[in-house]
Amino acid sequence: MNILNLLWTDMKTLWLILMGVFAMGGTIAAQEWQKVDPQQEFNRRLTETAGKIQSIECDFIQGKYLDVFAEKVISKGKFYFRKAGKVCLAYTEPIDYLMVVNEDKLKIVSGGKTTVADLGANPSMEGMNTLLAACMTGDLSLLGQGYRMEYFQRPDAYLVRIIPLNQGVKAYLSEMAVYFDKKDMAVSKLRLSENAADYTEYEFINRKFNTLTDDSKFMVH
Amino acid sequence: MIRNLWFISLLCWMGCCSCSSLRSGCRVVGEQQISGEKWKGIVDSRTGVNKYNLTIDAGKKHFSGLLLVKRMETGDFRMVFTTHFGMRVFDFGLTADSLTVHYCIPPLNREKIFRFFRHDFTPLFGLAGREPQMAVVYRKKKDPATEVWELPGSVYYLFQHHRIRRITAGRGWGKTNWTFGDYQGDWPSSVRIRHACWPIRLKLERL
Repeated sequence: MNILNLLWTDMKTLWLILMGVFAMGGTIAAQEWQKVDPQQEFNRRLTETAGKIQSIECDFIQGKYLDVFAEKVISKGKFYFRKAGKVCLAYTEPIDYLMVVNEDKLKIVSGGKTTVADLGANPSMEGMNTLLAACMTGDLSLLGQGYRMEYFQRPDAYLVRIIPLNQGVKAYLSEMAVYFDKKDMAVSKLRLSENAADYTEYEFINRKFNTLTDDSKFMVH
Repeated sequence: MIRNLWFISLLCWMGCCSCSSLRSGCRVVGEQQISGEKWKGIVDSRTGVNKYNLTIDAGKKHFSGLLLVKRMETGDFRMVFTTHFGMRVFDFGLTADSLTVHYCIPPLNREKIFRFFRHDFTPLFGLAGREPQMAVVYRKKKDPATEVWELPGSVYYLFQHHRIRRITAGRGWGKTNWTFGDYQGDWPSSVRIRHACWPIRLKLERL
């Protein structure tokens, strides 16, 4: 009986400790991201930095999470951006795959075959590409009307939640979360949520600015 | 004009002749039941999610992405196709006789497309969950390790050394070929799907 009482007391203590830890964790999480007014500092810093950055070159790690499989599928590659609006994603894992957006042209190289599409001829495709380019490069001014934005910050980063209002975009994406590193105001992480459970996350690492001097990475012909 | 028609007819005849039967050079050795044990499909249940690079060539158009397949606890297969940059294209549940659409992007959300994928993907998942069927078994005269199992409805399974190499279903213009290769252990690492009349080719490569 004494042993049972002792066990019960221990369990109660453990339970209280666990509750305390979770409560503290919850408070920390709640404190971590604070809502901010973008007019105060965010917009000014983003405009300042955007003016200085002509190109970005970095590695990226892409994680595709599907709730039904409860597993993240990882892809890796190189990301290149050059003003204005030129984006290149060169995947190296799990297979070589290249995607280049240069003005209104989209080039895809897969399995040794090259496909070039005219984005101007397909407004919905152009819209999706503009959206991705805006989120990946952090140039949110590219986004037109039709999105609701919420701004948050913590000591080392800003977070912009972008919620599409257009039904056409909502069919593909329910929310975009763009994380800006406060040090250089570059996009450090991007999460594209298809619904509450499934998402694709891109982490941009080893960022180098203004190293690309020509458009050789963005050739579409 | 007549010359052209002769030429087209000749091409058609040559095409038909080139599609030689899997049974050619074989002799009947008997009848046997075929079940999930004989053809387990391409999905290795032990590894969780099986990942493939799926390429689709439709005429001059080329498209590729990641096909993720898992055998669920219920025995059904769940199949999600995403672009390489992460956008989900479709999410299907497959059983031996049905396809459930959990998600599909609006441009592909059509019954005709679902029928096509069901037709092409169902044979990849083996015969588990199906009623065992009687098959006529043929054996190559020159290569006894090659067997052809014929099922009702013009469906043929070609095995070499007990490993599946090819499935054909249908006749003439409605014929479809599934070719399996690059075995790693018990599982084929590549599958090619070709249709006799449609200019659509699919290729799966295990990642």
